[in-house]
Amino acid sequence: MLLSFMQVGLFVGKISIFIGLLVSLLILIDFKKLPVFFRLLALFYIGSASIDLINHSFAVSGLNNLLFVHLFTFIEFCTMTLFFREVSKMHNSRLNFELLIWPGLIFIILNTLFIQGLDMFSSYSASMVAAMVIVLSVRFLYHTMDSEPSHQLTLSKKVIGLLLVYYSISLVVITFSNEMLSIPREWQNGVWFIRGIVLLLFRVMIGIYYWQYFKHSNLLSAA
Amino acid sequence: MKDVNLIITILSALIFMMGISLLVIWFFSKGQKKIMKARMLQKEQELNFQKELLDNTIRIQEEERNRIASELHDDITSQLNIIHLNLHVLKKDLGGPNHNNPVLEQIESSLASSIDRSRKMAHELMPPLLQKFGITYVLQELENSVNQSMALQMQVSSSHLIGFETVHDQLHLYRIIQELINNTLKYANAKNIKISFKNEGDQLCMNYSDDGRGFVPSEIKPGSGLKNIQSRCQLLKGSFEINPMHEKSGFHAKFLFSKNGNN
Repeated sequence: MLLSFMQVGLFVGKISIFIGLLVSLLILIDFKKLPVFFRLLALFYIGSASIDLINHSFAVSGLNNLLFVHLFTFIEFCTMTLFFREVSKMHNSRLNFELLIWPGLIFIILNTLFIQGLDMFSSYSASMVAAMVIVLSVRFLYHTMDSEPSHQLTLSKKVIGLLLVYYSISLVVITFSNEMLSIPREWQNGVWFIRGIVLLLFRVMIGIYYWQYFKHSNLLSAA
Repeated sequence: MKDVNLIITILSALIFMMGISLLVIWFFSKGQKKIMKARMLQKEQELNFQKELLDNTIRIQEEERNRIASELHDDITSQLNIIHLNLHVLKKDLGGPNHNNPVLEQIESSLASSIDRSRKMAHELMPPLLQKFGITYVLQELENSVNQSMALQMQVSSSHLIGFETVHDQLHLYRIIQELINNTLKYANAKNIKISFKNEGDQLCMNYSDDGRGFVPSEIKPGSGLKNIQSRCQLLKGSFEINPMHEKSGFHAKFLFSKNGNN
């Protein structure tokens, strides 16, 4: 059981990293064509794929990769907050993102320096990021319910829907990550495996949305 | 046992969060569809109201024209005719038909032209022949009267294909053609006008063209004439396109109407 979960998990992880890098390359080819909110998501996507690759390489070499988890949480928070600040402009949001960014950054830095150091998984920061993304996603979906549909809005709704599902799963896994250390390894792997599958689907879907966007913008420019 | 409880808690939380997030997406997506549907319905109602309003405005306008035309024809023109007759009697009394009084001559000629003008105006306001003989005959009359002026040659072909049953629809078409001819006379400096009709599936197609100056559609501001054409076209469940073949000279317009008009 342990072996099978580990093997399948490793395989899924490798596919996920491969797809992440592949889509990142696709995005980088036509990065300038993207609107600002999609560029920020692209930065998150590229950052996430790159850090996954580094994490994997460190893990294979038997080195401690928790530093990169802290680093990724930092990047994730910045890109996600800026992403939501951009998409919120679509429904003329009056939310002051400055009040979200600075306390959030301070919390992440304090957590890394004093609470969950570099030798621990940054579950508090990651949970905070996941909770923030969930709240902002629901808020965005609620406020754009009566907005006039456009290609960009529909696409951003699809992306945000995906973010909502992905971060809902992540929130549970991350919140219980430290408690999970006490349960048998095979069960731990099972839970992480579920998140891995959702991450894989998330990456594939985001890749499809980017491809759809490029196709649409090429069609528009051809017309 | 503690491990089992923890794993059950985690799995339940996972299922719960997954379900909640999917439920939220479903709820907002359904809500959006509902809002859009309601908005579409409202827009449709607004459009219907505007159409009804337009229909009524044009109907009232036509009724008013009809009233003015009959006043002009039955009252003013008749009175002018009586004055003309009395003038003849007066001339006779003053010294017979050979009596030459320049003032009387002037009055007689002005009176004759006024009678002619008021009759023409009455006919333009509401062509009486339309009700009696239909659009084909009226277009033929229009063609003859334009050609008589010698300044412009007009050719109407296949007008028998017009299948509008009501006088109202025929009048809308007549007004559209009138407006187009007016524009040609005012702005185009043209020598020839061609109007042709043909059937295109279940639609009636009318092509209007002149060999005048022409214009670029994007460069003109739609005036009341063009708006009038648009409104009447809409009432005939039709559409039109200016210069559909992108020709470089003259004015060309293609109209498509529902074969039965507004019915």
